[in-house]
Amino acid sequence: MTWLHTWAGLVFCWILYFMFVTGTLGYLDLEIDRWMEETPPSAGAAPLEQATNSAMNRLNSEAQGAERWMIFPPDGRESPNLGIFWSMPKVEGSDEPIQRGNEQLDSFTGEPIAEPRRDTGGGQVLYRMHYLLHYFPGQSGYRLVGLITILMFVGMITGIVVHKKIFREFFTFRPGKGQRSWLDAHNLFSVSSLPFQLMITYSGLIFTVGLWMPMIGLASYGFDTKMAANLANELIGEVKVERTGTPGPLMNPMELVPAAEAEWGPDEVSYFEILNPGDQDSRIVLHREAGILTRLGGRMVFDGATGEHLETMPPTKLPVLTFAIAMLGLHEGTFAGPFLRWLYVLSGILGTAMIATGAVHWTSKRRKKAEEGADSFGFRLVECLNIGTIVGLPVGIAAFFLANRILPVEMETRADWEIHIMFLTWLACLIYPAIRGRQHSWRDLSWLAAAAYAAVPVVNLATSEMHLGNTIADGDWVLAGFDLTCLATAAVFAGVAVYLSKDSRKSTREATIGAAEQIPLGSS
Amino acid sequence: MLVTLASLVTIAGVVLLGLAMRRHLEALLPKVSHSRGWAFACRLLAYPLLAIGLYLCIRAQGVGIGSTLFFGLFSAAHFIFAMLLPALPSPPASRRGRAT
Repeated sequence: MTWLHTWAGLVFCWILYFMFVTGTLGYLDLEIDRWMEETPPSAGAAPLEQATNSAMNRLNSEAQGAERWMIFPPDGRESPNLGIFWSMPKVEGSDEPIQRGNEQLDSFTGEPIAEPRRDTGGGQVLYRMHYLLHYFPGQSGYRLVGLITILMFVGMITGIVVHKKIFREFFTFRPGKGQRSWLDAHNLFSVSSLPFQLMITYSGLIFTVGLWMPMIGLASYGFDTKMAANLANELIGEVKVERTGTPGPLMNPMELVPAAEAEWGPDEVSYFEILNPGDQDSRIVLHREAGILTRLGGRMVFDGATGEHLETMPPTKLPVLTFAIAMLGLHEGTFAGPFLRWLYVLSGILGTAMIATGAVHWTSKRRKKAEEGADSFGFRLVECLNIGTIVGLPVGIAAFFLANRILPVEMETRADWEIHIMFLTWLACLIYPAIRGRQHSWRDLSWLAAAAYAAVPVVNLATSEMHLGNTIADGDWVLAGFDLTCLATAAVFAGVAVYLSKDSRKSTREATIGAAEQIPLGSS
Repeated sequence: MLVTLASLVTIAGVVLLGLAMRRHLEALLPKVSHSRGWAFACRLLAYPLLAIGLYLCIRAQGVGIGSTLFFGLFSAAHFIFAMLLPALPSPPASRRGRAT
């Protein structure tokens, strides 16, 4: 069991660390987006009627002849603006893909939201990295992440068995005791965030269930690309309506809201879907606010021309689907307000620290043997990967933020280069320990991380109007929070670097004393 | 308000769980001697407090978010308390015992 825990944990721990770091940042993806795009605060949410009318005007002017319109009124952090989407009918006999479009609108004026000042991958690219990795062709990154998730789950279950003292030594952390301290820290981080780790890994497995058990779905729903759509239609239900080609009137969806609210209660309408708008046979579907975790709401279907109520579709009652969607909801945490979101971030950091301390414990346990010459290449490799990843990846992410502010705004491939710079910086940090040696590398890279994160708000001050001086004065705590978090991160790395500097001096002194003790008395 | 109360109650429950253990009791309250009765009493208080914390979280935010919030609070309280303990002065060597 110990063997399984050690190797299931170690083999991919650096990619797992990458997944945890980028996944944790994913809980702040929209906030990172705002900072990187330099988006001003949202104008706020107009009343539902005003927003819906704005959306209908825009769709009438931009998406005539569409097969489907969708209107998403503003709804908090996830969608601060009015969103519209449309898809055109498929042209018979043509291989051209279906034309689709979407826009974000100001819910008061109906005008499209201005393009971001900076072209950037933003927080979304970091978030996507945690399950797709990067530079991996096709689905290979996703498959690798699926495999690592299984190993993580194995590592966790075996870890609970192997570290059987974790509950008896529930609060135990003994710093400054070398190998024992690393094991204490590994256990402490694990047990602190155990509910989160179990949830995040198990729900991660649910995300990749189709990857590992594809035949179940394929056998029942077909081997073509429509499999997922067929499955979803059976589970959730589909509103079917044929296009006649004869023009017809279309009601304003707001006229149907009272009927829906009479059945569901006030403020329960979430968004609108209109099928065959402007056709004689059209449908307006009102979607109900979904459960916060389960994300499944019911629907009411109306005739688009007459407003006749045709059907009420309840949310699926399939327990397995409800459970799966609830687990995915827990994983993504999109329902979380600011306080709970920070608890998610803290749990993610604890998980990241659990992986890092586990990897360092592996080397601290084997250092003496390795320094005597046994298995030294493998040991040195693990040590370089540990240092270069545990500190090097955060340095790379700081470089990503700095690149966002330093690369010219008009540069065409700047979004790609932000990411290239992040990975090149990380690569340099991976190489550095091989040249500089273990003890100095931990300290040097920690200082580098502290300097890089401290530089982010400073460079922001020099390159943007949305710096701390203005954001705090304006009360824009999302953008101010980004800069302040960078400063806090810099302080943490500086603290680590100071501690390592003291530790390094102590070790050097002890080594000198040790060497002196080896010299026979009277030899000089 | 309910979330603040839930946070305080959960923190109290976590601290009491810590005080039930000899090593942490000696670090936090050096004048109190550890016994099986003390550990039992601490746990007897801690578990209902944690249950009340869970109840308050659910009351404030519903079952789904409330239970998630409670586990988040518990993790944060446990982590912060455990990291603060080593900063306290160590008990005299003669009083050190194994964690129970």
